[in-house]
Amino acid sequence: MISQLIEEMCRFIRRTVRDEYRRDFGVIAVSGGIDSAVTLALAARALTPERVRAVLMPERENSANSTNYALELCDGLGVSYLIDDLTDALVGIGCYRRRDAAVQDLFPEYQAGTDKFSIHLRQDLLGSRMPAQYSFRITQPDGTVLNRRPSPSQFRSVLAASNFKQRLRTANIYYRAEVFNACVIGTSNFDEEYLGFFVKVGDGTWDLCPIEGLTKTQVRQVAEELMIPASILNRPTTTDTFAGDDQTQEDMFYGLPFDKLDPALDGMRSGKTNAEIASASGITEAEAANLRLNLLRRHRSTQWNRVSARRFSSWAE
Amino acid sequence: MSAQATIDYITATVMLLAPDGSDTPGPDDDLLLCDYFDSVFIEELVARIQDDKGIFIPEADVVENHFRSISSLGSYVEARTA
Repeated sequence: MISQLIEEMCRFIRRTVRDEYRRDFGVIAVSGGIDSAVTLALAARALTPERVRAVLMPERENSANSTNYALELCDGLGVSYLIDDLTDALVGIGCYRRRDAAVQDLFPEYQAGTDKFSIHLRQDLLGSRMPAQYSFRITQPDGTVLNRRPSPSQFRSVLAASNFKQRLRTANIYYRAEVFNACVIGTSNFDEEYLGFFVKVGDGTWDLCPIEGLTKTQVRQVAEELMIPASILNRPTTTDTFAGDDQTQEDMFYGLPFDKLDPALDGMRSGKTNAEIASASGITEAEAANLRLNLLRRHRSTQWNRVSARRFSSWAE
Repeated sequence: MSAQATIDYITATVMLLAPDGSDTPGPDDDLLLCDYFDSVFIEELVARIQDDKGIFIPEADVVENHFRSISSLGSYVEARTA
């Protein structure tokens, strides 16, 4: 079944890149994580490794492991890669400076460069119907940890500045795509798409995306079938967005392990009842009801991320 | 401030933050079922009430029991301002 799904995704890639868009190559932003690894392996299988280019876009706050894992993957698949370090561009546009200023607005004692900053989610997805609340955390070099609740404007300022990272990656990969006469192949999975865990005009922008219908759990199953290196397969799903960032995606955004979240998402899209979702996720029916409402709310509240521009069209009528 | 005045204040504050055209919730309507009741909305609501009422609402108090309806939130705000 998985092998059949892989063949269908490969046909989709071939048909879209060659027949529909009439491009010579596929380019993929490869991060060292499992989603881009699976996408790269699928593209290499669909188009041949010679017709695929991997673009690595590290910046000074990424884990060094990310680049090493990405290089190991490209070498294993026989795919050529380019490394475009985005640090200078991010400095130039004020990504770090603006984000640090917003963090200092909440933590006047924050020392950029030595303190570690991270965002944490507080939401009991199963036990309550309350929306997620976020807290900012700084960890000082002596191990002191400070948690504070940001104001809405502080939260938006940090997020907007940090999102330069995804948006510059997209600008850069489209530069590479034009040079190669290539399509940009996206790496978003279903969890990210449904719950809005992507940046508009950032990692949510691409020409085609073969794995958008797969939950994280399904991406992992495909990765195993494609024999993605164990270093990537077994890596915790970190966000790799902030310096020294070792927080998992579950901690920053999802608020639930994938083995509970994914059966619920899968059940919701296939019209399952709360009782069926409860059984698949190993939770009670009351918890499934809370979870469904919380996930639906996240989907609706991130709709702006997902929709294309609205146009006023009365002139044409 | 009377209990009714607090409820009227909370209702007006919710409506100021809600999208244009939203129905006005009744005092005992389930706020958590409103489409607009998301993370950003609740942070804005907490910030607005803190500013207007001069009270601090700790994270531990931002829970379903206090925020499920206009009247439950009114009771909570009254208790904090008493």
